[in-house]
Amino acid sequence: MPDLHVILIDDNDVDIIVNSKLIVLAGITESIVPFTGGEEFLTHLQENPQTVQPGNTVVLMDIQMPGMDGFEALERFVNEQPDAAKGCHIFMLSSSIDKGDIRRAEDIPYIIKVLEKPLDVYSLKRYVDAEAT
Amino acid sequence: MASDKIKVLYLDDEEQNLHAFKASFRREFDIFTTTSAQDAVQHLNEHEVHVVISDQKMPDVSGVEFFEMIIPDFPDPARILLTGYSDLEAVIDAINKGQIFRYLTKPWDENDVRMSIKNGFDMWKSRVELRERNQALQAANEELEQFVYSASHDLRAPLVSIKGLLQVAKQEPEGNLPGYISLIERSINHLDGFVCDVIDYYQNRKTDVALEMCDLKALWSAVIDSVGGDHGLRGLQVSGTEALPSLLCDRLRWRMVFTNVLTNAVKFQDPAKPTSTLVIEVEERDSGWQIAFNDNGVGMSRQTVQQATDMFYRSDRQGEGAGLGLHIVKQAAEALGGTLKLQSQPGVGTSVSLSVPKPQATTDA
Repeated sequence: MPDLHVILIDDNDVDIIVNSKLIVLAGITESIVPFTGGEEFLTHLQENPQTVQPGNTVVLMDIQMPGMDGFEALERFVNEQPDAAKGCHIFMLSSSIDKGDIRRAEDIPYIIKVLEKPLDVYSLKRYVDAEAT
Repeated sequence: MASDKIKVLYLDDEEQNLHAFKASFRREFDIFTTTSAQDAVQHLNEHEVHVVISDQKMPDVSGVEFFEMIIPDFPDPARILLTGYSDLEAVIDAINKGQIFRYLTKPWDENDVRMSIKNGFDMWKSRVELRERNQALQAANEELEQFVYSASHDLRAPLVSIKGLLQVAKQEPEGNLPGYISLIERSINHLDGFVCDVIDYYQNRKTDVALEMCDLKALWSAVIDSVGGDHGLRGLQVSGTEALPSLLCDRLRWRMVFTNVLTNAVKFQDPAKPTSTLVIEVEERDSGWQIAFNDNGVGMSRQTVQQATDMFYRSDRQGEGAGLGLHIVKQAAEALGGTLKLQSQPGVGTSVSLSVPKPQATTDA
């Protein structure tokens, strides 16, 4: 399968560094675009639709962010940019796996899974591969 | 001057009874008498009443009907029914519908009435206390739930970051280590800041206000030192400190207020402005002090201002901090018997203003 492109949205810049590094070190991809909030992510994609390469773009959205949280950001993404959203494998990230959050995510069809931080890159890859086949 | 006496309302259509009652008990109790149920309701609306006594047999409304009428709005006062004749049905009604505390027969026995009023007052008191305690418990419970929810994330997030950093560092060449160590340090400071805020928050709640003579100017410099002196201010210019008074106050609370106001002003500096300023304004009034902290930082939207003092609220842009800062300031202001006023405008700045009363040298009842 072609190279993956990863879009990381997390208000915690340390976690952006950590997760980017983990992805690069695992040899998954070097193409990572980080955002520190849902608003930046949405505006950037609106203005640069080519950021999403249909079929091989992975979105990793942190749940707990001040202001707009991950659920709201994803909902807006799917509603406002449906074509781009269709081309993405969407995951959520959380440092505290809250049962309520997991149940909420399970009920949302476009979210593949909630992944715990620090990111387990190999299971991320497995999920993406499974989606692709 | 407010009296400590038990406040009794007595409703009876016979004026003589009212007079006799007043004559017997006015020295012991604070008594309001009336022949009109309407007046009685009006009195209940305007005054605190501990015990309500009503005659049963009245032309317009019976005693039981009167009690039934006032229970929804005034459930607390103890209800005593007075009646000239004993009729079983009236007694049953009085208990079931009027939910009376005592049933007394006329002519009354003075000691009986006295004891009933005193016991009725005790009941009123425990009802009110029970309700207050329930409310406090409910509030504490809600706060606790919110705390557990937020803390589960806020306590774990920095640890998870550190875990990830270690995982990455192990796979990287040794030369890159210093960079990871400083990121780990940042995460630890973040966690430490959260824990310190939580400690402040609980100290604020659990510690009684302790008044001592305190030089706020010296306290302010101590707080500046604790955030790292001029270096820690990150270019923020503070003025107006010379106006800070020496006053009888609670040092712990003022330290919390100063620390939170200062760190917010440092944190929310507006990079678009050539200099960042924090101006302290002090106003002394007869009733108390008003101390305002005005910064020219990034400011907050109206909605943010409304939520800013909520527990664990964090504004849009800054991920650091526990979201307890202004909540602690508000709590501290309230512990001091004062109020906190927050005004802000995006791009202009924020004003945090505390009004605290002067501690009363003498207490008057």
